[in-house]
Amino acid sequence: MGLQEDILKEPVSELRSRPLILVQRDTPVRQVVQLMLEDGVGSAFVVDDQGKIDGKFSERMLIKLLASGEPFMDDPVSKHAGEFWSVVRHDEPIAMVLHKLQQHRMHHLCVVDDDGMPTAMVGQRSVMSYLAEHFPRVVLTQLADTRLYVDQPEGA
Amino acid sequence: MTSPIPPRRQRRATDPGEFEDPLKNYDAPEYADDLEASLAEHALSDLRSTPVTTVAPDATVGQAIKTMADLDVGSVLVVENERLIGILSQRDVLRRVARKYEEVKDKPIREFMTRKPVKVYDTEPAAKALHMMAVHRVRHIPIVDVDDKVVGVLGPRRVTEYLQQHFKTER
Repeated sequence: MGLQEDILKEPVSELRSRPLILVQRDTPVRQVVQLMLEDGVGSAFVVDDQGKIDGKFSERMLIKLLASGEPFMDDPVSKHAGEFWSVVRHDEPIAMVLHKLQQHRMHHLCVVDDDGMPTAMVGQRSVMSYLAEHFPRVVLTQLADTRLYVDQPEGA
Repeated sequence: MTSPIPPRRQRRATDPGEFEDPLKNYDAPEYADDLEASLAEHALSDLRSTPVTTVAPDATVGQAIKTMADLDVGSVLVVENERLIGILSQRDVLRRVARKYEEVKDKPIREFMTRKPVKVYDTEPAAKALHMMAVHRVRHIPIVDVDDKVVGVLGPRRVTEYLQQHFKTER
């Protein structure tokens, strides 16, 4: 199959998922930032009492809060988790991930099961890894460090 | 004593009838579809790389973060004498700045940026940028020209947009 056909047919579960951070609405922002730092991901999802996604806190929101100059680290994360978020079902095609990431200008999507419960997180890096792993002949054969000219003439 | 200089090698005039194509055994790469071909063949200069946001290395961390927030960009490139010397991304802010912002906001960005970031040349294929993103695990890659001057920055959002454009044109 070609790249386009694979993206249109293969399910989201074929993507390499990222660590999923789920936090309660009253979790302090400071603790959420620490979790994001430990897991090396740029988003955390806020869940309600039933465990369903209720909001998202991201690096982008963190930058906005820092730029505002107002103290926020001890606020409950729900106060700043109003940013738009979106989910994708585990059996939808990878093309749907591309579409939603692009349409909503997001870095990450939460993957949900048939009951709408969060199971994983995928993002732009998952897509980049998918392209690299599935098409190594095109992507992974690139030289790691190319130069447009040599430092010394050959034989010098 | 005889001279050690060897006799000049005689060059035979090329007979056009004897010309042998040096590329006669070259097989052009075959791609499964146009999208794969475009990744391998299209130069990065064909992609509309995000408008570049640059700051000087002496700008403060606070100024850089305000720039990122105001312009809603994921990274700023640190440029000195038109040369790329570093990058400050959202991830750098999370790792090095967020937890001690009040202490560091007035310090120069050069102390917190990622030095010597991976970069790609604008003549290289889109696949090269994907390779760097996958292997080096970075989201934003500066694009430079032959003189090492910054001409763009490529983020994953632009790559997904590029893939989607190809889907649309081929349907």
